[in-house]
Amino acid sequence: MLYAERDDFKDLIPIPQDEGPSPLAPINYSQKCNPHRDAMDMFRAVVDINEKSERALGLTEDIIRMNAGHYTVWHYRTTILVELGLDLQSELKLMDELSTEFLKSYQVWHHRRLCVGLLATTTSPFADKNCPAAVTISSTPQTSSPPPPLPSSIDLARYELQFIANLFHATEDPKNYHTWVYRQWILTYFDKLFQDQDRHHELEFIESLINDDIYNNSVWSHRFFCLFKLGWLHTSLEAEIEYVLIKIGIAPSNMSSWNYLRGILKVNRKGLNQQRVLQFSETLVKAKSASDDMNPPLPALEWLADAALEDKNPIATKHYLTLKDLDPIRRHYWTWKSHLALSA
Amino acid sequence: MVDESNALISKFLHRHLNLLPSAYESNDSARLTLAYFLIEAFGIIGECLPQQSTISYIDYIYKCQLDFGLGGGFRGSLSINNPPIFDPSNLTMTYAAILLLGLLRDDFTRLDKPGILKSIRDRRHADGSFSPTPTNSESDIRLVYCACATSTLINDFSEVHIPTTIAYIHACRSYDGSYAQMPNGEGQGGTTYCALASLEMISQHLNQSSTLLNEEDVSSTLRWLSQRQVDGFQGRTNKDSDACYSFWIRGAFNSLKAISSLPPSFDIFDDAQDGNFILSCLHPLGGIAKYPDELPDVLHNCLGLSALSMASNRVDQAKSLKRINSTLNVDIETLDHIKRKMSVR
Repeated sequence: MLYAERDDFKDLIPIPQDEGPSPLAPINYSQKCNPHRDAMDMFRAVVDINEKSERALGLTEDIIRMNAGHYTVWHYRTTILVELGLDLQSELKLMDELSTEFLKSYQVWHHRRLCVGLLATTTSPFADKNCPAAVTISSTPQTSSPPPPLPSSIDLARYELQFIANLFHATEDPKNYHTWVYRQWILTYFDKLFQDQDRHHELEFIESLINDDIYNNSVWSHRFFCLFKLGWLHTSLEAEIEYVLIKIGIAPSNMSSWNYLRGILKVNRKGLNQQRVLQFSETLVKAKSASDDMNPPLPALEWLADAALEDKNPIATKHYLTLKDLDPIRRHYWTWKSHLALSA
Repeated sequence: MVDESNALISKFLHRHLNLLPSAYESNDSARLTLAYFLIEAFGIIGECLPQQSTISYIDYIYKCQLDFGLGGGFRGSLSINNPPIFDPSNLTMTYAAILLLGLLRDDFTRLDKPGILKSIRDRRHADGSFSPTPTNSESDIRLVYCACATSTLINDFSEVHIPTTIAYIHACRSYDGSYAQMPNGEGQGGTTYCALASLEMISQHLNQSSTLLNEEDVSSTLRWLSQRQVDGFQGRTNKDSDACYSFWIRGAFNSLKAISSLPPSFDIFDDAQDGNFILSCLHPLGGIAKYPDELPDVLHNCLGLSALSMASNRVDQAKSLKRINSTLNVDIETLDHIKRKMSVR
């Protein structure tokens, strides 16, 4: 039923959109009883009298389900929740549903983060209406990041990690950018509360995703984040190099794992001339070149070329010229590298 | 473009400018960006809008402006006509509005520059990043780009705190030479463009080019950019190509050249293959889509055209397209107009 016809809203007069005589790029709301237009007309009426109520909350939910990107409506929803001191657990439940449905909406993830920040910083969020929330919706962005989480919120953090893991499976989209950004926020925000078992779980989760799809660059990036940004590497750099080489052995042209290998060396201030990796690359290049119809894996040859360039070894030029022949779409890039090698 | 494709694109643009299909309903609060994608595309194919409509479009855009007392900047549409406490201006819309006014050859006499500066200040975070609105704590590299672009367009960088913003951009740098949406994230084509274009605008403002990135960083970013071409361009390692990344990656490359010692004439891409890919995304009824056989949309249409224009030296069908400035994604004539008008303000 349209809001304009609902009994529980009959005290309000909907305010139609006023676009003036010649709107720029108007959107076709052609249907006479367009539910989006109807709800927006009522939303304007609610905002006009600054009404913060349960029915207004329901209205924002309806609009969000039609238009998950409407940041104004999201913000109004947040202020209703805070001002009325409503139950954020049930809001988070609703977000479980909405984050699944609107996976690619910036706003849905942002709102989830607000809810989790509020829940993590107070023992009984909004139970007492006279006690202001630990986090208020500030008017200046500088003060908007939540204070550190309470120790009791560890279960909430674990719930969030499990929710996202399930979401990757449910949506079959383990490369979704928003989801990864959110997961990394959880891991950063609750970092001090996590125990060894949590870190162990996370590494197992990463391993399972790499096994599902070794070409998933998001997981490689996430592995880097956990081991080298959060500092979870408990083995040695050498052991991590061996780990990557095994994965490269499975998919020798997979640029995700090669880039990861370059990354972990660089973050440890090491160059490309690592004996172990050079040998490994040479073996790969020779094995493939020996068979007639197979090209050597380009990233292995590139490693040898870049390592030689780093060492000012003239063999680099030859490697780059081979790469130019094997990878013609990047011929300008390889030519340029070969010139660098010549003048090195 | 050959006449036939030009005519198809033009039809697509007129159809959408008159009335956007209801599929765009969820973008109602971001209409100025949709309008920018449409009118910039007209600019690239070299088609002028009738003067009567430009006058009324300019009026509409100024109705979206909030004056200094209401926080300054532009809202995305007149969708919410309520007090701005619940619908403040949005940094992305402010950036789109100024470009739109330039495309429509406005003289900017009605532009509330102090208001725009205030709106940038109110969206600035201590870590150098920015939010779209002051009511939204979401902040990332896209908004850094919008703040730098707006400051460049109004020729006033006073509300960008340059050292912290540079530090924020560096924090978004990934281990593979790309840039992520926020610190520690996965590098991606669009965010790499935002980072490098922002650095370029900052370096222009500071009047120094070669100190923002060291040689090793330039080299690994260049490597990452060159890896992105598959036929067209992919946005991340091991993903499919998508017409918009032809623009983001090419734009990022241009900005990288501008802030490094790489020669301006240097090229690393296969323009012919990219051109073929983008043209394969051209729908039979007009408009460029994300992928071949997909429905076109105004964003991919505009960015696809921008990319074709950047490849036009080697893509025959793109020879007639206007030249663009990739840092701000606007045609050169429009940018000249904006600079001229802003300098007399």
